[in-house]
Parts: sequence; structure tokens; C-alpha cells
Amino acid sequence: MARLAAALAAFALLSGPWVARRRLSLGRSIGVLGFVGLSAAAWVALESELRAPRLDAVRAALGAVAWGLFALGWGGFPGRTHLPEDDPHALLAARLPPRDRLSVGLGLAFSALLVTALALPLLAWRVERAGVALLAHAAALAGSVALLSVGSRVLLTAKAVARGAAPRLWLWLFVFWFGAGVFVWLS
Amino acid sequence: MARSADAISMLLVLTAAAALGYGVWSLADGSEAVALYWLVFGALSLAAASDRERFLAAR
Repeated sequence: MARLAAALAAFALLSGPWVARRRLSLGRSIGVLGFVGLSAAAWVALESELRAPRLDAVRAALGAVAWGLFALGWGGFPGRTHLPEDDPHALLAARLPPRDRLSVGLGLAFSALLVTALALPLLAWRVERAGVALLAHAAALAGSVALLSVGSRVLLTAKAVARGAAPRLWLWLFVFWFGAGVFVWLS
Repeated sequence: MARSADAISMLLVLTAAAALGYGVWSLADGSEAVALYWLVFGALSLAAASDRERFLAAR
């Protein structure tokens, strides 16, 4: 079953570019979706043969390089960049100065945020158990992205002075969760 | 408009960073319940910070 899927995947890989010469979208579908889907089917059919201890290191490395070449093969180089200033209708003027500058403290805080967001996925490598390690990597990556997104907005966007009642739903849930944790810890 | 970060939002983000870090750290130590508590703690803290940031940015 795995051999059949692998052979079909190779056929899709080779026939995709040939079909794409006449029908681009169909060729891409065969060459990209067909090849990846049939490769996935081959991996599923291999079952336990795909476990890390059974893999040949050289073949695995060659496979990684080949997947990289596959991704590059279906890409394309960007066309020549057009500068807006080259347009004959462009209004050329001096550069506008920034309206505000970040303070040193905010710069340092943003650097700390960046380091923390980068450190979270690295922490996940401490987890050695197979199933839990995957959860740790997923949680660390999601936490890192969320931290960077919310943290950069908190630090860098301009704010007004708070007037009126701020929304408190998540804040109350946060306080409730903290209280529940303290209660469980004390009891 | 003042370009200065809100102190409560910053505190919430800081708390979230510490909680998420400790949550992932606890997963390595084998205490899944503790890890889950701190990961949820971090997520709620981030959600509260995001909520407050949106409120202040909309003023």
C-alpha cells in the first residue's frame, strides 16, 4: 500500500509540471496537492516504520532537502520591483519626520518581550515525553505568538487616558481563576 | 494621545509571560495539572490585557 502511494506520488510529482504547461491550476493541483496528499497516504501506510529510531539518518536528511527543493520548485521569483518614485505622476517631497519617538524604557520593554517570546518555544524542548512534548510545543508556540501580538500592541500603540468603565469580563475571569488557584493551594 | 503604555496592561502582559513560561516548564516536570492551570492563567491574563488595550485604543 505504501509502495503504491509512493509510486503515485512520484507520478503526480513528475506529471504536475507537464500538465501545468497547458493548464496551470490543474497542473499545480496535481503537482502540489496530489503529491503531498499521496505522500501523506504513504506515510500513514508505513505506520511504525516511520518512527525516529528506525529511520536512516542520511535518507531522512536527503528527504528534508528534497522537500525544501520541492517547495522552491513550485515558487517563482518576484518580478522587478516598481518604486513609487519612478511613477511620472508621483509627488516627490522630503521625507516626513516621525511624529513621536519611543522612549528608551519602551524600547527595552519591547526587547524583553521579544526575548521572552523567543524563549517560550525553546523551553518546550525540555519536555521529553512524546505526546506531552507535542502539546508543550503547540502551547509554547501559541503563547509566544499571542504574547508578541498583544504585548506589542500594549507597548507600541498610542493610548488615550482611560475614561469610563473599561470592559472587565476577561479581567474578572482572570481574577476568578487566580482565586480558584489560591483556594485549591490553601485547601 | 500619549505614547505611554498602560500600567495595568503591562502588568497583565508581564504576568502572562511568567505564567506561560512556568506552564511550559511544569509540563517538562511531569505535573500536567499545574501546567494546565498556569497556561490557562496566562491565556486569561493576555485576554484581559488585549481587552483593555482595545478599549484604550478606541478612545
